[in-house]
Amino acid sequence: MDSKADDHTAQRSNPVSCLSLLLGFITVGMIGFGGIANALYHVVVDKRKWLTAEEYTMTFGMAQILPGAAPINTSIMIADRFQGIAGVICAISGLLCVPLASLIMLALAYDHFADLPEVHYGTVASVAAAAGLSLGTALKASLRVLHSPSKIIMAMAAFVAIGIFRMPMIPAMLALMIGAFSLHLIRRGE
Amino acid sequence: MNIAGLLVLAISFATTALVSFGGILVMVPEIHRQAVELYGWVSDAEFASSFAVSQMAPGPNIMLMSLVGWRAFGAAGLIVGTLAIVIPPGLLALAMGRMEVRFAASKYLRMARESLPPIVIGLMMASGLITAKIAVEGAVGVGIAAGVALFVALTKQNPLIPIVIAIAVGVVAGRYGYMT
Repeated sequence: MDSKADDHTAQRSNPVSCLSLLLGFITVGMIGFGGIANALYHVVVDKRKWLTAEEYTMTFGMAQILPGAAPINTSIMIADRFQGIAGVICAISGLLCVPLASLIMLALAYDHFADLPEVHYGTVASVAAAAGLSLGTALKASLRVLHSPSKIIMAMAAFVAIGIFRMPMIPAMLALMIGAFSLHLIRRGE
Repeated sequence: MNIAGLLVLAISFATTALVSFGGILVMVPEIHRQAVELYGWVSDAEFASSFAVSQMAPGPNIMLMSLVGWRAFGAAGLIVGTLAIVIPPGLLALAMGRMEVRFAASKYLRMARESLPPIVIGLMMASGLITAKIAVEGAVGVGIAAGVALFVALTKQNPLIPIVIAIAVGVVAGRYGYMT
């Protein structure tokens, strides 16, 4: 059905089957607490050795410049490489089945115990922690990335547009990307 | 089944996913804007609890949207919401994976690697601000947010660790009357 997948699997001494993708990604979903990025690396590189660390880093790097969740996009690219579209369907259903079931069970448990004051305090604390998670991630990346005035301006513009003016994401992102790409081309042109 | 509602949910999530460079954290303000303010699928409190529950469940962070879909439209909303977040960017990933070699040399890739990270940082800060507005009240809330921010900025540990500690601190502080 997919000659591209055949080429790729033929190059590998140890082709990865759909069943193997399904089982591997079930593990990723099950052990991926606090996001699946670490679990994905652990299963794909360390445990099942589907990719080398370099191959993984390259694939993840490409996924990061795409919209959407990078670990999920990485999973899709990996599964497609081995088994084409069928592999992608196996990988994504494996990845999501246990987490979605746990999610609904937790949500039902939450609804049942929502009247307890402890549940309310825990929820408020958890969302406050999520705010800290975003700010901490931004802080960590700022130190690494924001080295030129134009980059600081782009970061501030994005913050003000979405955080202060609450602009809709689509027009804001399009404007920001046009701005950032223009700055990039102007600087390269000099 | 509310087909029209599901369609709006699908379009809303799919279009948001297609412009969300930088992952789930940057999507939070937009999902909140649409789900709470624009369409009223969930209340502010339900959004906050969905956020909390989706953090505690194993699996990808996009499940915040899955849960918003569930709260709004039940099982159909869960599936439609999840697929709407996964499939559109996933198709781009498929295309890019298959064009790997040609794309690696392209100008776009270099331009995107260079230009997107500052925007993502700004979006991440916006996300922190909006999330803080949803839940942070009083000294304990500010302390938790600041503590987690420092933990994440200074260590490479799994973010679930500070979140679990924060919940424990919140419950204890609440018992002694320090939480609102």
